[in-house]
Amino acid sequence: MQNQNIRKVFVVLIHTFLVFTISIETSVDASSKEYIYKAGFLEKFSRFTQWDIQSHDLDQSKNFVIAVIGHNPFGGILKKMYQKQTIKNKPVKVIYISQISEIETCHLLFISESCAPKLAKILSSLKNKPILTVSDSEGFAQKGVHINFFLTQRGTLHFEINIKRIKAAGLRVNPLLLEVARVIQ
Amino acid sequence: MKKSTQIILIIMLYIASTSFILNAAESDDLNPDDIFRMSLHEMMSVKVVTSGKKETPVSKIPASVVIITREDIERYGYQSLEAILENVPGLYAIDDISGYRTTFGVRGFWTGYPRNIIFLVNGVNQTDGLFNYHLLSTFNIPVEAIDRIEVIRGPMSVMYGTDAFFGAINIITNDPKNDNNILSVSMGSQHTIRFATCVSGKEGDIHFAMNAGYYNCEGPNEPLSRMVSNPKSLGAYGITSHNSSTQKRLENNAKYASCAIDYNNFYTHLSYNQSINEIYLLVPSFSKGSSYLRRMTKGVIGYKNQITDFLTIDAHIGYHSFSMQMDLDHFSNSVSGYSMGQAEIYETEFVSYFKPGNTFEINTGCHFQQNVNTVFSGELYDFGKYSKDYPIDNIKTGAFYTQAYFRPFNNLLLVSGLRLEKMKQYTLQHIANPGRKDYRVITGDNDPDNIEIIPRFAAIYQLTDNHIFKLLYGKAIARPSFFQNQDQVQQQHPPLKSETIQTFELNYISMFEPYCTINTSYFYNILNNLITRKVSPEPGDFAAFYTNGGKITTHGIEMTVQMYPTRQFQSEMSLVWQKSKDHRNGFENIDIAYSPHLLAYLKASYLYNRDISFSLTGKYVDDMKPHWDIIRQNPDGSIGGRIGHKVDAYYTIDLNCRISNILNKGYYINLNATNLFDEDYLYPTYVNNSNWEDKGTIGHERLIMLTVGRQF
Repeated sequence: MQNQNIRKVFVVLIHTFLVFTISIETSVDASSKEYIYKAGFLEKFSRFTQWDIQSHDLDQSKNFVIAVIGHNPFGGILKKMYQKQTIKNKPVKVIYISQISEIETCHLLFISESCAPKLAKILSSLKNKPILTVSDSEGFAQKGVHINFFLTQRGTLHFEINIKRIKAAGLRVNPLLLEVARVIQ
Repeated sequence: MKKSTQIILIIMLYIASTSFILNAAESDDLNPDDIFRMSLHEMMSVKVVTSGKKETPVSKIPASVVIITREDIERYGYQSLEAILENVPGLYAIDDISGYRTTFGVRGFWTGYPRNIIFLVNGVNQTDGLFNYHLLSTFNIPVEAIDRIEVIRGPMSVMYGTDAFFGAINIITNDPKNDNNILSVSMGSQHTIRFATCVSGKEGDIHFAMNAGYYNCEGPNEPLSRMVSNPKSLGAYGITSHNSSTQKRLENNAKYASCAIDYNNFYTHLSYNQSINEIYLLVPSFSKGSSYLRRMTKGVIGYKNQITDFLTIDAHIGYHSFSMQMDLDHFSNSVSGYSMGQAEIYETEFVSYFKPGNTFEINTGCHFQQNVNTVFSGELYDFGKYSKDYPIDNIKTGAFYTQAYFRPFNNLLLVSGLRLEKMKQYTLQHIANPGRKDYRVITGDNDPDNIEIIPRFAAIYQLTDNHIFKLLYGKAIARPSFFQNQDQVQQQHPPLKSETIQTFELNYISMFEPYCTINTSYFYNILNNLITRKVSPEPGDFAAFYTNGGKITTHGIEMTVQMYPTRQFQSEMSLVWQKSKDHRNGFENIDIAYSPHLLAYLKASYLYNRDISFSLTGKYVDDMKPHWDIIRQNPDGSIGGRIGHKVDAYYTIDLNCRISNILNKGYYINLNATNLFDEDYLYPTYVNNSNWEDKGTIGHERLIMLTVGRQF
C-alpha cells in the first residue's frame, strides 16, 4: 500500500513537472567557438561599414543596436561580449526579436536560419533602410542579405558580401573588408 | 489503469502543456577582449569547427540519424553507454545474463548475438575479430569522455563493410583540440563504484586527449525463482538454498584507457579495455559464478590533409588485438571448464573526398584487413572434452567503395553508394580430444566468397525549408564469423552464407515552428539467410551449430516529436510500431521472437538556472516472446514450441538532477535514479540459458547513483 502511495505521489509530481513550465530569465551555457567568433566579427563588420548619416539618426541614438531575429544561435554570448564594448563610440545594445514588426531602429540585424521561410518578407521590410544585415545560412547572401558567414573546408570562418544590396541600403563598405570577402555581385 | 493508457496520458499532457517563450541566455566561457584585439586575418585563420565541415543538420544527412551530444549526456545524467542507447528511438535492450550481457534490438529485430549494429569509436571499428561481435563490454568508455554519439539507423555496409546490418553507432570522444578536463567518482546501488578522468592539453603543435575509467558493480541479488517456473528443477544442477540467488554471481568489472594525439595533419588513437563479466551460461552458476574476461587493444595512426581546395585525403593503418577467457562454474565446487580465444587484425584504409563544386561530391575508399593468430579452444572437465579451432590461412578481406552526392537542383540531393567486398576463402582446422580414443582432426573451408556488391541510394527533397523528405534504400551483409564457421566445420555442417538485409525507408521531417520538429519514418526491411545458433545438450556433450534460417520481413512506423520552446525546457517523445513476419515454412502464424510491436520513449529536461537541471526519461517496451524451437519436445508429445514464456510489457521512469559549477570552480554533483518505481520486469529467455530458465531473465531493479566531479 505504501509503495502504491509513493508511486501515486511520483506520478503527480511527474505530471506537474510536465504541465508547468516557468518562464524565468535563466542562464544557460551556450558557448561555442563558432558563435563566439561570429559575435566578434559583427564588431569588425560594423567598424568597416559607414552608415549614411543623413538618412539615419545614428548620431542621435544613444546606443549602437544589434538585433537578432528568429531563434537565437548565440545564446548569451552577444550580451556578454558587448556589455562593455563600444561601436562607433556608442555603447552596444543587444536585442532579440521574433517578429518583423518588432524591427525597430537598429544598426545591425542578424537573421537566423529559422527565419528562412520569411526571409523575403524581412528583407522587403528593410528595403533601402540603412540596416546592415548579417546571417550564417547557405544561400542567404544570394537572396539579399548583406553579409553571410560560411565555413571553409578547413573549418575556418569566412564570409560573403552582397555588394549590390549593401550599396542600395546606403551603406559604404571599406575596401579592406571586400578584399578578404567573397563578393557577390 | 493499464500501463499503456498511463503512458499515453502522460504524453498527451506533455504535448498540451508546452509553452513558447524564448529567453535570452548567458555564458561566461568567454574572453571577448582577446577576440576584439584580433585582426580580420587572424580571426579568419582560426579553426572554429574541428571537423572542417559545418556540422550538417540531421535533416540534411542522407540517412536516419539520431545525435546524442555531451550536453544531452549531462542533462539526462546517463551513467553508461548502455543507458544512453536504451533511450534512442527504435533501440531496446535485452540482457540475457550470458556471454553477451546487454545487446540491442533495432526496430523490432533482435538476433541475440551482437553483430547487427557496428560500433565505432572515433571512426575505428570495435569488432573483436574472433566472433565479429560488437559488445559494449569490449569498450567501456566512461560517459564523461564522450563528446557526441551518432546513431545511424539503416544498412551502412557501403561505408563500413560487413555487419552494419541495422546501422552504425559512432562514439566520438574528447577531441584533442578541445580543452575538456574532468575528474569524477560515482557510487551507488549494487555497491557500484565508478571513476573517470579526462585530460586534454597542448604542447606546441601537439594536441592530446587522454581518458581513463574504472567500473565495478556487484550486480543484483535476486532469487533464481524469478527466472524459473519450477525452482525445484534447479536441484539437478546442484542448486540448493545456498546458491539459489544471483548474489555476487553477476559482478562486473571494467578498466578502460585511451589516448588521442594530433600533430599537424597526423593523428593517432590508442585504447585498451579489460572487462570481467560474471554470467549464467547453459546452467545456473554453482559457486562464485562463471566469468568472462575480455581484453581489447586498438591502435590507429593516420594522416588527413586537404590537398587542394576540393580534395582531401585520409589514410590510416590500424592494429587490433582481442583475447577472451571464459571460466565455467557448473555442477561442483571446481571449475567446470573454460573456453579461450584470441584474434589480431591488421588493417589499412585510404579515403579521398573530392568536392569540385557545390553541386557534386564524391568519396572513394579502399580497405584491406587481415586477421592473424586467430584461435579458439575450450575444455569441459566434467565431460572430458577438449577442442581447438583455428584457420590455417590468415583471413583476408579487401573492399573498394565509393559514395557520390549530386545536387541537380537546389532543393534535391541525390546520394548513391556502392561497395565491392571480397573475403578470400580460408581453411579451418578443428582438433578434438588429443591423446584420447575420440581424437579427431577435421578440416574445412568457409563458403567461397564471390565479390559482394553492396549498393545504397538516398534522395533528399526539400519541399520548403520546413518540410524535408528523404527516400533511403540500402543493403548490408553480415558474413559468417570465424567462430560461426568453426562450428560448422566441427559439426560437419554445410558452410554458412552471408546474411543480407535490404531496407527501404521514407522519412519526413517537418518543422512547424522554430521550436518544434516532427520526424516521421516508414520503414520496410527484408532479411534473408539469417544465421541462428542452436545449442543442444547431448549425452556427455554439448552440441552447437549455426544454420541459415530463412527470410523475415518487417514494416513499421516511427515518429519523434522534439520540442524546445525555451532555453530552459526541452522535450522529446518517440513512438515506434513495427510488425515482422517469418517466411519460413511452418512459421507463418508464429510471432517473431524478441520483437516488441510497440516502443515508446519520453525525455524532458528543465534548466532551473545556468547550473541546476532536472530531467526525466521514460521508455515503454511491448511484450515479447522467446525463440521458437522447431525440435522442442513438449509434454503432450507435440514437436515445436517456445523455449520460455512470453514476457509482459514494461515501462521504466528515470530521474536526474545535476548541479554544476559549484563554488564557481567547476565542481558538480549528479544524482540519478533509473527505474524509479522499481518496476519488476523480465527479458525473454535466450537459447544460451533455455535449459533451465523459462520465465525469462531478470530486468534491472531501481538503481541510484551519485556522482561528484570537477570540470576544469
